[in-house]
Amino acid sequence: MAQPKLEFLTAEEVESIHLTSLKILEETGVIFPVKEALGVFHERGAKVNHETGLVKIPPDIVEEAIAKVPSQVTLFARDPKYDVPVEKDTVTFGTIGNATHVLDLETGERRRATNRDLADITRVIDACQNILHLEPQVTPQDVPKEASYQYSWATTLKNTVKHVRLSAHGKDGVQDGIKMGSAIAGGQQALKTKPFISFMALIPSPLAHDPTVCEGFMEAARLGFPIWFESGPVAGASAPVTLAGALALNNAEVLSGIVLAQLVRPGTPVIYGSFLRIMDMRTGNVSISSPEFCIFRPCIAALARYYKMPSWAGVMLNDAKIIDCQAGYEKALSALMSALGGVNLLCGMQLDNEHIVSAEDMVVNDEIVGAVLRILRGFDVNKETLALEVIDEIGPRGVFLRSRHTMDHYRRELWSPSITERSTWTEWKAKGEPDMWKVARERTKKILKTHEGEPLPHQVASELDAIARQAAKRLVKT
Amino acid sequence: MKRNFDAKILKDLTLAVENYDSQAVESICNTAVAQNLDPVQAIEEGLAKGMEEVSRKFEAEEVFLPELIVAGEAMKKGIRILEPHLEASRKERKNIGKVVMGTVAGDVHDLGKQIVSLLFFIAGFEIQDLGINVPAERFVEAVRKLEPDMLGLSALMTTTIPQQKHVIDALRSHHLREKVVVMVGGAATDEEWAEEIGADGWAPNAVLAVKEAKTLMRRE
Repeated sequence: MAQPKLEFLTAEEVESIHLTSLKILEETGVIFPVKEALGVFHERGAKVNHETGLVKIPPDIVEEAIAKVPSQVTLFARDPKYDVPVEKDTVTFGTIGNATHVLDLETGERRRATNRDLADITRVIDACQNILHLEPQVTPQDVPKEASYQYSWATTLKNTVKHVRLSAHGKDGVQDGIKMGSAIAGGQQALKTKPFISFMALIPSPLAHDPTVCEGFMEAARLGFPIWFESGPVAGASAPVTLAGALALNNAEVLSGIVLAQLVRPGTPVIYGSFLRIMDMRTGNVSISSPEFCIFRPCIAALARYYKMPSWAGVMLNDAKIIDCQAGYEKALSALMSALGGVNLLCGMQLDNEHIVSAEDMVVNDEIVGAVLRILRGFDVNKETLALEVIDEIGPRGVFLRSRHTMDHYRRELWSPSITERSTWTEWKAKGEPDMWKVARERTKKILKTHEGEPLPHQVASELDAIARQAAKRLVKT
Repeated sequence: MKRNFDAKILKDLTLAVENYDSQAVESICNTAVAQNLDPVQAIEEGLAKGMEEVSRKFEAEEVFLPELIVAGEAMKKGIRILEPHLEASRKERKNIGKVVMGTVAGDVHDLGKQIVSLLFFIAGFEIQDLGINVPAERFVEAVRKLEPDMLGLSALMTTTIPQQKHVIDALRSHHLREKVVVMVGGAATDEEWAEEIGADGWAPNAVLAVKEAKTLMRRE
C-alpha cells in the first residue's frame, strides 16, 4: 500500500517559502554576536556589519551550504541495538530537555526536579521501547545552576544506553560533553567514529543568534559532531501571526545556522528542525500544543525534504498540566500529524508548556507512540492478506478466531496496547476504577524496581561526575 | 498659557486610540501642538480615556492582546509628540510608578520583557528598559540614578536565573535593596525561586505581571 502521507504545502508553496527565506537572509539579515562567526561570513563574501553583528547572506552562499549537508545521519547509541539510522522515511520518537519541575510519582504533586528525578526518568525512558533518543528531560534544581547542563548530561549518560542529545552550550560546554562521551567510548576517536551524543543549537527568534550557543555549535561543527538546529518562533509574538510568514522566518533562522556550520566545516551532519509555535492571544502565554502547532509539523518536514536534510520537530508537548484528557488529545494529535507529515525525529514529551516532566507520563507517551507507529505502518494488500481462501473455508456463520490464518497474522496486523483500558465496565470496576495516570504510575514503579539498564563502570561514572564538578568550579561566580 | 481643547478634538483623540488608529493619533497630536493646546489635557482626557476603554474590553475578553498592544503603541506615539511641549513643572506624566526593566547578564532573551514593558506602560507605569544581557552593576547604577519604584529582572534559562539573585545581593550590599521593589520573571523562574532569592514579587506571564506590580505598588 501507499505510505500514508500528510501534505499541507504544494511544491510551489514550498518553493515560495524557500524564496521568502532567501530574501530574509539576504535583505533583512541575521545577527551573529560572535566575532569568529562574522570572520567566517566575511571571508566567504557575505555582507557583514562588524559593529552590530548583522550578516546579510546572499542566496548563492545559502544554496551552496544546503548542498553540502549530508542527506543521511545515524544517531548512534551506547548499545548498537538502539542505533537510529535516519533516512528519508524514518519516523522515530524521542524527548526534549530543560523542564524544571516534575509531578511526584507518589503524590502527583508538582515540585522542583532533582538530580535523582532525572536519573529515574531517564531509566524509565531507557525501558520504553518506542522512545529511542533523549535529551536530559529535566534540569535538576539541586545542582549548581550555572553548570546544570553538565550535571544533567552526566546523569542522563549514566542512565541510558540510547542516543543522548546535549545542548551546544558554549565552546567549553561542548568540550565538556565530548569529554564525557569520550570517557564512555574510551577516547575521542572512538566517540567520533560512532557518536552516541550530538548537540542541539537553539536560535532565538527573531533573527538573532545567542552568542553562547553560536560559539557552541561552531565548536561542535569543527569537531565533526552532528548538530540539531532549531528556532522556536512564537507566531504572533516573535514571528508573523500568519502561518506562512512564521514558517518563512523559522526557515530563514534555521538555514542561517546550518550555513554557518557548513562554512565552519563542510559536510557537518545537521538535522533541520523547528519548535515553531503560537502565542495565546488572550493570556500572552505561549502554546505548544495548538492545532496550528500540528499544522506546522508536516510543513517543517516538507521543507527538510526539499533540502534533502534529515528533519526533527518538537512534538507531543502539552499545555495540559497533568496526565488528563487534554494531555491525551494534545499528544495524539501532534504525534499523529507529525508522523504522517514525515518528520524524521519527533522530540518532546513534556507537560505544562515544557515546565513539567513526569516519569509515568513517559509510559503514557510510549503507549501513544506505539499506536501512532501502528497507524503509520499501514497494511499490505496481497493474496495472503486478502484472505479469499480463508473466507471461503470459514464461510457463512463461521468463526475466524478458529482459523490458523488469524493466529499467523494477528500480531502483525493488530496493535496490542500495553496500558490502554479495553476491559469491560465490570472488570474495570473490580480493578478499582483506575484511570490511565494511575495505571501508568504502577507500571513506572515496576520499571524503576526492575529495570537496571546498563550502568557505566564505576570509574567512568565518577569521571563524568568529576567533569560536571569541574564545570561548576569554572562557572559558578563567587 | 496653553489653550484648552474643545471637546471634539479630545473625543477624536479618544476614538483614535479606541480604533487602534496610530496615524489619526499622530495627526491630531500634531494639530494640538500646532494650535498650542494643552498637552496634559490631551494625554489625560484624550489618549488615556481611549486606552481605558480598550483595557476594559481586554478585561472583558472582548478583545485580546494584539488590540491592547496596538492601542498602547498608538498612545505611546501620541505621548512622544506631546511630551516635549509639556511645561517644565508638569514634565512628569502622571504615572502610577516608575519601573526599570532588564534581562540579566548572560541572557539575550528579549521577547517576554518587551511584552511586559509594554503592558506596564499601558497600565500607566513609566518604563525604563535597560535591554538584554545587563550586568548586575548596571542594575545597581540604574536604581541609584533613576530611583525607580520597582525593578524587573527577566531571565529565561536555568543557567542565568542565578543572576537575578546576584542583582538582589548587589542591591543589598549597596544598601539599595530597601529603596526598590524587585520583581522577577521568565520561563525558568517560579514563585518558590522568587521567594528563595528575596524578590518581592513574581508572575507567570505578562498580564499577571501587571496585576502583581499594581498590588506591590499599593503595598508600598
